[in-house]
Amino acid sequence: MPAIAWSLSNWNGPRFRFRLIDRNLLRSMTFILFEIGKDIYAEDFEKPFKEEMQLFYAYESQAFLEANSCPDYLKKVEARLREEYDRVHSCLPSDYAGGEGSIKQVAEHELIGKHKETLVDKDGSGLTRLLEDDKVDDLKRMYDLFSRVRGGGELLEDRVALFCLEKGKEIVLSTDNQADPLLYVRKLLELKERMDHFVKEAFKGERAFTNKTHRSFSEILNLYARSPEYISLAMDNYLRGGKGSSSAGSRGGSASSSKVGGTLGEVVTEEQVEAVLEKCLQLFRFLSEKDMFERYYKQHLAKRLLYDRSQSEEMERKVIQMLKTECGYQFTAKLEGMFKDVGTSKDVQERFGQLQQLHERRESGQIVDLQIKVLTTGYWPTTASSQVYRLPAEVEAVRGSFERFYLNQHNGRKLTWQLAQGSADVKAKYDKVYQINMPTQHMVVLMLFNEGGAGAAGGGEGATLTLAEIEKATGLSQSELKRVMQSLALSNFKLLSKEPKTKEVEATDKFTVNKGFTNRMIKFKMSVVAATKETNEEHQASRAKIQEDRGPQIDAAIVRVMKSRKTMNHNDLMVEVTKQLQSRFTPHPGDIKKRIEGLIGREFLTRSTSAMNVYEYVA
Amino acid sequence: VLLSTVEQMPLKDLFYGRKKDKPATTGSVPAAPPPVPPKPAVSKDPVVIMFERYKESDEDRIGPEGILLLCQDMQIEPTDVKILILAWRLNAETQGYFTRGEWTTGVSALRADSPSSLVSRLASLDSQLRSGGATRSPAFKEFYRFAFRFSRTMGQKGLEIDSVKALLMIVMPPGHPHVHKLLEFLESTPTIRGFNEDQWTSFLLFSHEIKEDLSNFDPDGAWPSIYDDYVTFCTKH
Repeated sequence: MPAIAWSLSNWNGPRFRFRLIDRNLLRSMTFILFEIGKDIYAEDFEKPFKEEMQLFYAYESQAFLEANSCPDYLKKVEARLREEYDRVHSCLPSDYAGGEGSIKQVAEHELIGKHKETLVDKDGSGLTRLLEDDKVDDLKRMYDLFSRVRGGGELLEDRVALFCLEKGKEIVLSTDNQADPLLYVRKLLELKERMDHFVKEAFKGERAFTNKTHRSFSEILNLYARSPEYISLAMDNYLRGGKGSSSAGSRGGSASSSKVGGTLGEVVTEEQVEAVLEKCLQLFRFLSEKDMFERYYKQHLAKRLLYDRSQSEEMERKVIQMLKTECGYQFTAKLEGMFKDVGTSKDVQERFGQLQQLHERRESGQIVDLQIKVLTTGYWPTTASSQVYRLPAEVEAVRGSFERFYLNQHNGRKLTWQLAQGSADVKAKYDKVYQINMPTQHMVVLMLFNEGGAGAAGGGEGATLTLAEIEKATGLSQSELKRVMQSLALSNFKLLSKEPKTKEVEATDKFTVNKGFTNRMIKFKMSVVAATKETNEEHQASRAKIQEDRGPQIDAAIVRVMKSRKTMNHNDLMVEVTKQLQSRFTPHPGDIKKRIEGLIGREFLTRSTSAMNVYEYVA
Repeated sequence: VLLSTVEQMPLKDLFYGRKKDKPATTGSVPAAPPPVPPKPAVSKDPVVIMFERYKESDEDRIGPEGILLLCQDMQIEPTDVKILILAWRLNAETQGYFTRGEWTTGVSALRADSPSSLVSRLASLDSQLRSGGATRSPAFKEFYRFAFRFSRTMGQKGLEIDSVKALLMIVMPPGHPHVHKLLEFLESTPTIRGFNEDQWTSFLLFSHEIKEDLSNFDPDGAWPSIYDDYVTFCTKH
């Protein structure tokens, strides 16, 4: 029909030439056709029309694609489609079911659908490039266009998740990052921020993007076995008031953090600290070995509490609260116990202080202030059993006094002194009077060099003591003592001199007060009590311990499930048990199986006599 | 060749000679019926006559020596499965011993009145239990489980590996699937020191269900993990 041919040429015409078309005329024609009969319209007009359109766009898209970068292509397509929609809307009957829509679809399919992989993978300008360069507008456009075609949105989601995974792998598998826990975590936080930024700004916060990138993060975090430890260390740093600067060996960190799309910046104000801690907890959520994290967090928290290193108690409590919400009461029960102990200790100390004032303070002429923390065993991480060594008389006096006081108050309790965990503030007179904070063992040794001290047999300042004599006087083990002497005589603060001046401490060495000692600062500390990352051996040991602890937990889960279900088949049991434990760790199926066998042996379960893969609970 | 260590072990020691678990008749043999009032010196009952022949001189029960004598009379080796079948039918409590009650009740039920009739009864039981597909029968299953429990040292839950190997050879009919390979596996895995009941019981089902080429073995299945290791071993060799 010539009228149709005329319409088509008019339709196509404006694309090649900027010719005004008479839209009204066009519209009247199509409407007339439509009125004549829907099937006539469909058969004689719409069908050839669609075919023409398809051919046209197939050709045009190919040409565009070859000549343009991905973002430019998308811009062109966006414009094209807008034109097309406009035309379609004004010239074609819109109440024809699917008419408008299906015509649009042809255009969309030809321009986008057919080329979506090509676009995404376009070398130098495809999705990866856009993400790298943070081209939010281009990404937005891409998302908008792609979601109009089938599978387009999904393709983007998968590729974005893949990008995230690749970037994440780079971070966690880099040896530089692995060597510096703080840097490691910072980089991950930056990546997370970057991905969140994309999802929010370019992908309209679409859930599917979030879900898929989260899956990538789960994979990333569990690639490196020390992630739990490192996250705890990072949090420890922020809770101590550290500003999040990386250690010396990684200046490169600050350069990349200014990169567009992810800046962590300095962490100074309370809001910033809280924000970064929350972000760290987001990473925590992706860990499959949450029980490892718990172990480290407990250790690091203990150090912070015992040495008063927390910046803000409120912040500590907030974190515990967040963990509780995340993992349940069980997870944080011990941590909260630790806090309680610290609080109770303050009260105890106050009461003791008052008591002391009344009785003994002036008596011995030496005033020793005691700062005490009473810890409930079971809440706190276990430490190697403490040595018993001899304290100087005035220290021993106050120690005994406290013990009497406490046991008086709390009949039936047992106190075990953890001297090694404590420290002493010592006033030392050299060229100036210094105030030095040092571990208890150090103090015990130094006091021997005083007048009237064990080695001072009339020597006063000139007292010389051999290692053996010190050992005898203090009761410290030789290995421990060697370390102490190393610190006192050979490290940064040489409070003592060693004879002979060798690098190692030997049993025959002699020590005297180092009269030439001087230091710029009057007040200083002799030991570093910051939490540091474990050595490889320590890490192995921790891992072994955690593995050991997991066995009984798996047993408990199995028994719990079987007790309530009475009978269950093998696969279902595996699934249930894994579900029960997943807030703490992900058990290997092989491990669960072994524990099941153990429980069969101990007659908690039996195999059903009718089917060998069904278990029955033994009441 | 594999089983030389087991074969060389004196059978007596393997099964009957464990002096350490020889229980005293007083009190610690639970199912022993109370001492029967002294019978007339000569009994006409052939079953009792047999008992008298084999019983120990100082105890009212048949002991390891008697059993060896019985085997001679029946003209079978002490390692013959028929002795185990006998123990099963007698519901014997303790390996190496038959009490008077166990003997008289059980042998009478078998309707045997002489060693030769006894041995032929046992032979027919053997073929009922173990020939053809009979190993899939409930009766064999019961016998198979009995064999494990019977062979255990009193108070132990498991059976040491040498006994396991010997027991497998006796109880399973020759050519039974997986037996040979399993023995090979156990031989080359000295870390396996014994079997628990679950592992023993599962083997029967395993041998019936899992094909020789292991094609239908599901590593994620509920088989005791020893069989996962067994399959790994087989695929390597």
